[in-house]
Amino acid sequence: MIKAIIVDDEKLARDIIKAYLQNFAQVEVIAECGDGFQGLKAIQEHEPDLLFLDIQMPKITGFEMLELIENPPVVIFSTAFDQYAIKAFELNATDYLLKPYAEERFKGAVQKAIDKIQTKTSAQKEIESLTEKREELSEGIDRLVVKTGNKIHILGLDQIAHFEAQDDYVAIHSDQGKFLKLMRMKHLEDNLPSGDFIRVHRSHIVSIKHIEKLELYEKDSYLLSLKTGAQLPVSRSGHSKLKEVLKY
Amino acid sequence: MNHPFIKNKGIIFYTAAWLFIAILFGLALRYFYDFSTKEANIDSFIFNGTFYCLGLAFWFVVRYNSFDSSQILNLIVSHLAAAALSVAAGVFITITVLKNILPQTEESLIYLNSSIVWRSGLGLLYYAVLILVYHLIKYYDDLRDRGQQQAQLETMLKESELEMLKSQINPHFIFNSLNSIASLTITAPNQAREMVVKLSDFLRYSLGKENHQLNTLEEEMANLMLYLEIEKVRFGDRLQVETQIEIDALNLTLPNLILQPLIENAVKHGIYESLEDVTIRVTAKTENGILRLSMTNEFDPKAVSKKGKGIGLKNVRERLRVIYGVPKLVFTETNENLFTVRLDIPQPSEK
Repeated sequence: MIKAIIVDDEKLARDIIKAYLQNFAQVEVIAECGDGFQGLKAIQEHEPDLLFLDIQMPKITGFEMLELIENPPVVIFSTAFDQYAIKAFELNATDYLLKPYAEERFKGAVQKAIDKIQTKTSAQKEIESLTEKREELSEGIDRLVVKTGNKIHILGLDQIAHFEAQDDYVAIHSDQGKFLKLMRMKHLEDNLPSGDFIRVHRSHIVSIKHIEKLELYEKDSYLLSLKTGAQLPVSRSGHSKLKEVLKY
Repeated sequence: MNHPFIKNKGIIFYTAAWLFIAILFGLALRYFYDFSTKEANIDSFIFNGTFYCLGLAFWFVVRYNSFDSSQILNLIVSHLAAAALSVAAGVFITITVLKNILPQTEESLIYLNSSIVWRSGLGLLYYAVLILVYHLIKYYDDLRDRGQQQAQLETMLKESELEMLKSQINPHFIFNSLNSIASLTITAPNQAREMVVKLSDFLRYSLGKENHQLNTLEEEMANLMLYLEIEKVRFGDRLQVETQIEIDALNLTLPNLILQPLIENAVKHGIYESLEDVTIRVTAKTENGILRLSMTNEFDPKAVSKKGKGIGLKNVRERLRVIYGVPKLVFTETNENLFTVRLDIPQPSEK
């Protein structure tokens, strides 16, 4: 038996998925959720094999929800928005259904998903490349969603003082505390608004608004103090970038 | 461009001017040559009448020669040719006719032959003056045409701008609604039919309206409610709508679909970004001949929402500015978890 969860903020959109799934005796819908928070909870509780996921939903998007799941199931996106997926998931998504979709189209997607689940090995990789793809394609970051235990935090960029590289993770220092998120500094550097954030060091990206002062503490070596009290090293290239932005 | 003296009342001025010249000419003949009144009048009538007719044709020399520095030589040659031909023709015709009409005396023959020189000179002067007048007319006409073209272009630009601002019906709304309909056909076919009709009515109204057109508040509100009913089918009880419309305000006018982007914003920030039930309030009243509209929606002030681009509100501002020529007709206000946008719509003065 394949366990499926549907996450969509419109009941009618969930209904049609359920109705179409009647043709698949081996798929059972164990939960349906109206937003990403509920979805996350249900996924942790039920560990489904298959996920039907809308993208635009209240509070957190389908993408953001997916980022917070450690072992994501096979995902079929269903959304009216073509701008995200058409490019990003042509190759990598298990499938991407553009609302409204034909039943045949839906059946094809589910069949693909079932095949994938039955040859379980490849599924894991699929999702990884899927989220990576999303990173590469991201058209600018305007907020970050992180999870500690069961709590989800949505961090606005103005709440973030600086980012710090920690192996495969990035530590986010914010008003709401320090959070770890699996991502790369390069991705942040490329997608954060360049007028607000600046990479001052291989391991540090700071919010320009949070800068308190810049001091010389050794020959050719600078130390950046933030309003939060944190002190960060500044590399030579970081220093020239700072000079440019702060115009001193 | 038409002939300036043939169209409209131009021919009257042209004729009057020639009559004046002919009288002067006749008086001159009587004074210099001691002609009788009758003879002077016949001579003047024949000579000036001939040039009166030729003069009308001079227009085409101006009309079909562009006053362009690269073709200055062409212009000179064609004017010289036209002047020589027309003066020769004019003088020849006059002399021939006069020879047959005037008494066939030796005296008059001598007079006619000696008059060829000054008649030619006078003919050249006529030619020059007429060409100058035609050039002035043409120049003035061109100037006016260009002004009209400019004005026309500006109107077109304005219209296309309005068209663009207006035609921003959210395609996702349509696709999501169609998906809801697809779903309803399975579970509740009757409701599906109803929703198809509502969506059709909404689209017909929204897509079919002409530019600039002012509609009554009654029509606009009906369309707005259609939109909200469709959204209600999608979101169920989560969306509540309260309206408070003064009866007197229903007949007032406002630009078509001006409320649509605002209601879409309200739904977007209310419903799309919130987990709670949301109430949207619409009010309309009339005050000092101004239609005052307001739309309020609840939102979650703590939401770290994806940045809206603010296009909807900006478009509404811009459209009202273009239509009414008044800079500030849109006001917004945020009060805890309530966002209000107000519009002041001036009414046409004849009402």
